[in-house]
Amino acid sequence: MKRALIFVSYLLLSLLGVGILASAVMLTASSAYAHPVNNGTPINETRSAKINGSIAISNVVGSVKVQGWNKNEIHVGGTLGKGTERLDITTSGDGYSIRVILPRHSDDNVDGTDLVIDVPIASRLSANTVSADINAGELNGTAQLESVSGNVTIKSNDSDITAKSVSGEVNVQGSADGAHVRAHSISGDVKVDGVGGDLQAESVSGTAKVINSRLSRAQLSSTSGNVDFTGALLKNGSYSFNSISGNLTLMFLVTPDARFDISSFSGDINNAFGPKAQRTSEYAPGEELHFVSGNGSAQVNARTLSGNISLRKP
Amino acid sequence: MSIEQDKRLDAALAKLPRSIEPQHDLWPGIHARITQPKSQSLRHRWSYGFAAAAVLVVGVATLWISLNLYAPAPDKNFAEVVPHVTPTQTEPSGLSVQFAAQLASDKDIPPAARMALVDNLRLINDAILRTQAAVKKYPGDVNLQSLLLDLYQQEAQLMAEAQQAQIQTNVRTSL
Repeated sequence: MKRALIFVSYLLLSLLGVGILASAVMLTASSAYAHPVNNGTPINETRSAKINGSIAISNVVGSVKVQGWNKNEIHVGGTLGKGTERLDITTSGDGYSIRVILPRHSDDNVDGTDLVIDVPIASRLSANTVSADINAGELNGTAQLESVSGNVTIKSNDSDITAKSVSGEVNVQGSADGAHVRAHSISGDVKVDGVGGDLQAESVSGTAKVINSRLSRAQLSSTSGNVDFTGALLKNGSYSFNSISGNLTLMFLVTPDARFDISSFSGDINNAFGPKAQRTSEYAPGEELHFVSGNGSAQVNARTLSGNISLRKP
Repeated sequence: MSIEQDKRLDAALAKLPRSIEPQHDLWPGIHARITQPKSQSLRHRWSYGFAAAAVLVVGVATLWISLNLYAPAPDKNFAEVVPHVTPTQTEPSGLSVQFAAQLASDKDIPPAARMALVDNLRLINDAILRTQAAVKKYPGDVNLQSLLLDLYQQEAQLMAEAQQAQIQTNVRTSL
């Protein structure tokens, strides 16, 4: 019995030791490897890389600029902000993880880090930031760019693009033909230019605007913001436009070859391509518009609660 | 000393008792304590128990303190941020109201993004209420029902985005 009690006591003491050690490590982890960065420390790091490897970038404050180039290597430049703990460049899968590490309890005492990164043009890019803008260009792999309060801009020939921000603007310029593109912001505007394939563009209170598109499928929506679409409809394409209180403006560069199903509960519907909208009911305020333009190969659906809907010519 | 004195002393000595009995028998108690080691180990057990409990308390307290030392304090501006999303008119989306309250107290999220999330959650809430009112008035309107469904999906999506934002910002403190 006595031995058992002694054993239990040793066990508990060991647990205490482990607990204290773990706590000490947790409390001092950041300082254990800390190399506090002076103001504007330049970065100049190069690594060999696969032509289509993955590149994962993480930055909290500052900016991230990524550019594709025709070399089998990555180069990380820019400046580390004052108070930053370090920059980690580690291998990850078939590529690299590039992370700006801040002191664990940095609060607001850290300046932004500006990263300028060159990567092989076919890299599979992912970038996550909190308050840092993301700007990516000259890429043709896949890109997943997300920021909390920063703006996100991508100019590329990527085949699979996701660009998201909570309060920042989202701009997508260009894509491969037949690409899958998702552009989303909660309060910022979403602008999509020259994209082909399948697009989903959304904003809750910002504007969703699409121009020069070659889309076979599109879903554009906003809750209170306007939705503006300028482009042509592809044969057998499918297009959906929704808003609650925002206006929908659909400008077709050529006479559309599509079947239209348009409705608004209390907004007005204006059509430059054919019949006028009809009241849905003698007692309800809503209007509906159903018509076929050309052979009706594509399908267009547009709905609002109180926003107006306009089908326009250039 | 005289012979008379010797006699008196002898008489006094003769009056003394042959043996002295203790007031009560202490031996059984002493015997019991000697022959019952369990009672002694019980005392040690208490000592071990106290020591183990102390160790455990100190260990847990140390861990707890280290884990919570820098935990963000509740946002004092909570009341300023939340009131406009907590009126009774938001009854249909109580979950999102709770979520908005939780968001409002998350100091890790940049203020602009936090306000955007809370404001837009309210915006969707308001839109849901308006659409629900319209559906109630015109229950046969399939377009309204479809819009309402879209709004529910947007609300769920926004909450998912907010959680993603929380994860993204909290990475900062977990690195």
